Amino acid sequence: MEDRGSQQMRNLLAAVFLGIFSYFLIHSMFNFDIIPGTSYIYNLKGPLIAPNMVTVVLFDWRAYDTLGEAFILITAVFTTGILFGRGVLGGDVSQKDTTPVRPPTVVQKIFSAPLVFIIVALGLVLTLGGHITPGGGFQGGSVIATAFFLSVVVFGFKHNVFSISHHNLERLEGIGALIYLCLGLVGLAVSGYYLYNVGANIYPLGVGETLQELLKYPDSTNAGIIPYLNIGIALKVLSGFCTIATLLMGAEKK
Amino acid sequence: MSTLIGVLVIALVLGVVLGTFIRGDYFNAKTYATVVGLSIFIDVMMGSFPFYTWEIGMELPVSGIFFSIIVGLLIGKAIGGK
Repeated sequence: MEDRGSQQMRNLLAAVFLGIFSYFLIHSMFNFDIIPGTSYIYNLKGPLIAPNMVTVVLFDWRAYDTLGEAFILITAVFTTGILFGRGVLGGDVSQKDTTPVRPPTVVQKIFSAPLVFIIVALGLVLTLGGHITPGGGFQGGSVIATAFFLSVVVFGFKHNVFSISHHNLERLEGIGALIYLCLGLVGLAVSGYYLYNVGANIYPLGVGETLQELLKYPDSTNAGIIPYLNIGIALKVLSGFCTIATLLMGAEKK
Repeated sequence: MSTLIGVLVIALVLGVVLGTFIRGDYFNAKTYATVVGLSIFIDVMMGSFPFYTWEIGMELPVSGIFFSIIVGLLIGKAIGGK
């Protein structure tokens, strides 16, 4: 009886929120103010903030773009957790016996272990070269996560080659988010704009260079904090995707 | 990361960190030989990608970052790999 009452309450709440969401959706559809192109804003506001347009597009606002992608990933992890994480979130799924029904073949056994090394290395190369070549933190983190997928699919969780426990995933995600947050705050402190690109060349420190000179953004050929943001995002994306894989592998039909 | 040395050090550190998550159950001498052989092959084929240069302006004919990461992964596995 109590279950029935709580279910009715849940349905009522869902209906109310659906109504509110529908109202705002319809309201925004009829009162949509079209901005004349994103490039208009870029051209108008960009050079007032950053040294030039190249810096604006390639470096400063790219960090915002990545921040949005990271939020999408967080939403995906939450959604997967809500839909498939029943019974998984309470404990460490890596301790569960999720050995594949079919044992790995000889080819899988021989090639998986070396491939994990190579895939992780390629992912890190993509991450570290992301500011001067095609790639970046998101792509690099995704590639590293595929090493986790490969070993989980072939060996299961208990005998996994690339084994990251749930606690370590949390730590990696926390470190990645902190790197991003702190670097963004440095930009805020220096220029008044969150994630503003600043100089990050630390090796002249100790030879008469002050902190203010260190954080001064030299020119548009300098990557500034972007490589470090890439590392933070790679850790975050890696842990996000691995969490999704963990939740999906540990999902049980009850 | 504005110098090659800085990138190599960061690559080594990240390699060590991720290498600690790689377990040793399926690794033997042949596996390590395969990893090293494949790595050298890929390293040479990558060339100077991703185009970091020494301070003297010379580009390395091999990918120093890739090599550094592989060394870091091997060290990390030796340290923390079960």
